[in-house]
Amino acid sequence: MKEADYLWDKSGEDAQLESLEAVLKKFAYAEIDPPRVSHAQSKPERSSPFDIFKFRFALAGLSVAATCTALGLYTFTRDGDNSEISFVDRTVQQKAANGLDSECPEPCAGTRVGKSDMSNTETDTSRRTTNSDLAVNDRAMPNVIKVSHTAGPKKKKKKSVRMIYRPVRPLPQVTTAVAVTREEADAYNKLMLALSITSDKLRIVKDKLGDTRR
Amino acid sequence: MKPSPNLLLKLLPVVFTMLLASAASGQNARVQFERLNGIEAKASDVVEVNIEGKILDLAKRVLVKVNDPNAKKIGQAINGLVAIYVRAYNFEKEGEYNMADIDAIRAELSSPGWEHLANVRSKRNDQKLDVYTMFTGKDMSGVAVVLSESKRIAVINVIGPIDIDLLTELGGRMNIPKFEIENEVPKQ
Repeated sequence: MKEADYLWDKSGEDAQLESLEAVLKKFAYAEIDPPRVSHAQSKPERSSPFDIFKFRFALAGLSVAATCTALGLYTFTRDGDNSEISFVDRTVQQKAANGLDSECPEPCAGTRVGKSDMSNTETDTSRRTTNSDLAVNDRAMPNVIKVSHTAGPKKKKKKSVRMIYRPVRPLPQVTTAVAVTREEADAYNKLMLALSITSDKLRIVKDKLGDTRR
Repeated sequence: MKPSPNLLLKLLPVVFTMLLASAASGQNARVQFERLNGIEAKASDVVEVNIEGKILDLAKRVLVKVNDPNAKKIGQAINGLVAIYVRAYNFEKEGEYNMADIDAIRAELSSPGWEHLANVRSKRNDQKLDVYTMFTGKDMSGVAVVLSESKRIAVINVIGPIDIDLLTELGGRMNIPKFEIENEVPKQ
């Protein structure tokens, strides 16, 4: 009975069982953390049908990010252009003030930039462009640069001058193109050939006569 | 008003005579190129241009259309042109043609009616160049140019009045302008 109780709820004594327990103790359960098993080991390796979608999703995200970056850069560059233009205009002002502007040795007609203006508008870094200024600029740089002016409230961020660079358009080709029929063209070509040969031979005579006279 | 048959009968000989005269004047200025037929086979390069009648009219029409001062001058120079014939032959070697054929043409142009306007002789390339003109009254009715060199022959025959000076002057400027060929011939 004792043996049975010991085996059941460890009450009583059983020397044989105790000796066995002592031998097997080292294999007994110990309350320690379970051994860490890697994810790869824990999950069997299998290809998911969603992997390809994940890759595409990542690619799409990357494209959106690139587009946003490009747009941001474009906007930034445009702002930079404006600042550069104002610098150019200041140079023009300075040239006009010094009388060094080759295109306008005297202050250009309609241009409100001069020595007195410079002194007055020393602090005003941006130049106000009038319609007459635009005309002058257009004359100076035809077909290449078009200057347009947008005036706004002073407190607003000023986009005083905006330059639009355009490729130089080729001038309309002036040709002596004539609409003729094929027969007319052939006849004309023949006549020109005959006349050119004739004039060539006549020229030989003329040159020889000229040499003889000399 | 209907013309009477008698009047037509009276005018007919006059018109016929005028036609004959004009044809005769044109024919007289025409050089016989048949003599050069044998040369053509021996030549390495051959240029043969015949412009008369309808072709000449078409070419003149283009000269009117072309908006170019030189074209206008050319048109002025050939205003009364009736026909122009060009024969030019280049040979690879010397002595490949028979000089007698060319001399026969020169002999033809020495006949009455033709005037020997210019005679150029040069030892270089054995060059011989002759210019003949024919006049009907005060009007020029023909020009002939005969050139013979050791490796080259050219015979030009112009029928009708032509401004030689102007033609010579415009010699280097006869560039052919760009044409836009019409796809369809306009209906007349």
